[in-house]
Amino acid sequence: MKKTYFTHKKYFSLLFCLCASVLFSACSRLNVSQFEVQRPSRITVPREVKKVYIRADLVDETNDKLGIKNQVLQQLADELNRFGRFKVSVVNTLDGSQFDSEKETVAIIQGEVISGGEVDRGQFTDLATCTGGISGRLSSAGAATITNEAITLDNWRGYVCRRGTFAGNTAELALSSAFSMAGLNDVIPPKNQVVRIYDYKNISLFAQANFSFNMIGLSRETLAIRADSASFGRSITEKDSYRNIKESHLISLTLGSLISITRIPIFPIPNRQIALASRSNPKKIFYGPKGLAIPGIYDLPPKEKRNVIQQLVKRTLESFIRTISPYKQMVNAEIAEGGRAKAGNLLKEGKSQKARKIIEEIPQEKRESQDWYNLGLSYEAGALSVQDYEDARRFYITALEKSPGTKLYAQGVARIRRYLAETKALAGQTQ
Amino acid sequence: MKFLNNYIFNHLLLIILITVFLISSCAKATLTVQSPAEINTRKIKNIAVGGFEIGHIMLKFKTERNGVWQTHPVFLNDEQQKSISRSVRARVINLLTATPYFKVIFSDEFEKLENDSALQQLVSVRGYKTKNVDAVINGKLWLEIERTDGVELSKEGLEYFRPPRSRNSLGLNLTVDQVVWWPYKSTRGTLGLEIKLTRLLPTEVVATTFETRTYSQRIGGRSRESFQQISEGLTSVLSASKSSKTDNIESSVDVLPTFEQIIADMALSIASGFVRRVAVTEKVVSYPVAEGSSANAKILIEAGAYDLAIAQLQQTTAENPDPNDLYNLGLCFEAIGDFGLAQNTYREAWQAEPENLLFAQGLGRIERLRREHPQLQRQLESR
Repeated sequence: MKKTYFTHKKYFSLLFCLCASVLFSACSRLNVSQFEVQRPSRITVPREVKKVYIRADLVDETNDKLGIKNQVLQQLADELNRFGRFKVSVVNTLDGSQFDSEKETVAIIQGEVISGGEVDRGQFTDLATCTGGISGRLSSAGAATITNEAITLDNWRGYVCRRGTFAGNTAELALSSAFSMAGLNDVIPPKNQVVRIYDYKNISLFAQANFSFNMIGLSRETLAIRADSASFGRSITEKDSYRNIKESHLISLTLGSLISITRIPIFPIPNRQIALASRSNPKKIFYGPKGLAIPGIYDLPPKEKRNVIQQLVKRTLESFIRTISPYKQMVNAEIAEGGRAKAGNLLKEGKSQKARKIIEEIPQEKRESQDWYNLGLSYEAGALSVQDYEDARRFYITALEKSPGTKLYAQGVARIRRYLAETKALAGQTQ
Repeated sequence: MKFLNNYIFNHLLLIILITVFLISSCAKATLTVQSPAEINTRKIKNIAVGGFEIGHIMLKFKTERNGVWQTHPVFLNDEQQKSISRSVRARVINLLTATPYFKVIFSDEFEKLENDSALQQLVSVRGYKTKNVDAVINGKLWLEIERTDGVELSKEGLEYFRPPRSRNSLGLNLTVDQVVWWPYKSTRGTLGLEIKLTRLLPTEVVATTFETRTYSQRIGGRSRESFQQISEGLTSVLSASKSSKTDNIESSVDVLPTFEQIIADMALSIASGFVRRVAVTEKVVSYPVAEGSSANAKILIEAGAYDLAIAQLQQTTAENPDPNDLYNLGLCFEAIGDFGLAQNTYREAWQAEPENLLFAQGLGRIERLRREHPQLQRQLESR
């Protein structure tokens, strides 16, 4: 007993060590400041192009089975307007009244929206092991509560059945003999195996946008073409549909009793009809001539479906937007804890100007490495010019000199290196 | 026994702690390296992308019950077929525009042509109007995807076990044979794609590839094995093109992908192989950083701040030429593409410690790059 206790204690401490290392590595990165940076687009659209028209009439919707074309176009216009490089509107036609092609160069977006989805229903079979005895029942039920797995009860004794294979009988027999010798007959509960069936439905949604970005004015030129897609897939097992259809002892009550009393092995069963688990063969055909239906309100609640489609559209448009327009991106940068100014909380709350003011009030010779790093972060978070980035870099380097080997400070230097490299391209695209 | 148990336990704990430490402390530098094109496309700078002709498209649902098969084809009209062709073409363009090697000229003149013969005819008589185009890429596709709803049959031994009740009881352990049906669903798709690069002046087919990709996935059935594969990786060409593949906002291995998703991913896989053949491509690699005397340099390299790391390492190695610092300096030069300085610095480190595998690997990498470099250099200079 004592030995078992010590063994458990040891393995508990081992588990504790592992959990602690995982938690330590995960938690040490929670203290972050979030700010927005502008990134350059992949192509540089000539500066004279300021207006963009999304031509709804030139966006094909033949394969838009989910009917999301209008949402895609509006979301595209909204996102591009948010980034401020272009003034974007969705139009149904474009004529001379909207712009003068001899004086102005504009861009049009056209292409096609493809979308689809399906509900794939079916029936699967699995094997489960049923455990009897009070202890078996309790442990199975307890585990089922924790893992939310599907459990069934066998028809004969009400044993709890859970997915999985029958535990090694030889080992279990040997163990039970040992327990039996020791007079502990009830330690190993009886077990039996069952064949179960259950229903499922798989829901998938797909969205794709093929867009081109064309410049029109005195001449016409296509500047970009892209195709991007996003998908959603979820498998839903109908938990209430689980049914035991064959159990190892339940041939008939009489036969079951005979086996129990005489221990005569009557198997394999000579009559194939008895041995056939016929209900495991689904009668229904799931792929008919009409193909698969599009998910309806009973498959995916309307609110969730709206959210999923919104995310699909967002992901689908992301690369096209980043190709043609400078865009804003959220950056999570870790804050240095401590320092004299204790400006970490202000940075976490997004108050970079206030943090900067507090740190700058401390004389330079009294600033600690954390203060220098946080000062750099405040400059980076509120950067309006190249000079701000260069100042941030200088402060990060000072922090690194004061506290050599600090990874956080080196990461700051590397971030700024990338921004400065992109600045030239960005300047060409936005000014 | 207790001693042995303690011994094993302590060793296990030590191994786990060392592993955790190694995982957390294993420093790597992430570099972007360029690979030369497999075939010479030096004089081709501006390319147009023509149409992708449809050879054959077949989508179908199949059902099997009790050995009887039923097939339900999915009929696609002309517009739906053209939409598939346009999607495949756009995927090829995604990859071509992600490499800075070619400038893609977007002209619909070549796209409108009916097939490859029409393109070859137009090119041979120089009847095209689009200017500044050196070559045209066009293709032809064959596609077949099927979804199957089937049932397999197997004999299962259902076990029953009752433990002995007393010393005289043997208990009961028996097996009941059952024939069980195991429903499954599967999908299998094959895309054959021929892509051709035709130079306009002088007229010549510079590169042509015909490749197939097969995608298969199965859910359910007896084995409960879910397998999924496309015979070649999708994201190997460029990090910038990562977003070109289908983006999953939620996925499950128990859900079969839609026809559209399979087509999109297979087209991207084939196109990435073609782009590797005809263009200089970039890939991201990770190399280990040595434990040098400069703690700052190591973390600067890991973070990617190579310029500052070079400045610090040059200063450190001038005072004390530690071979580990020299290797790290070589790594920084390699990262910024200065292969000559990288080679010299790696050699210096290796000469100081000829048995150090890390230094030899660095030297070997640069030598291989320099062997390929004339080709890469020529290809880049021709841009």
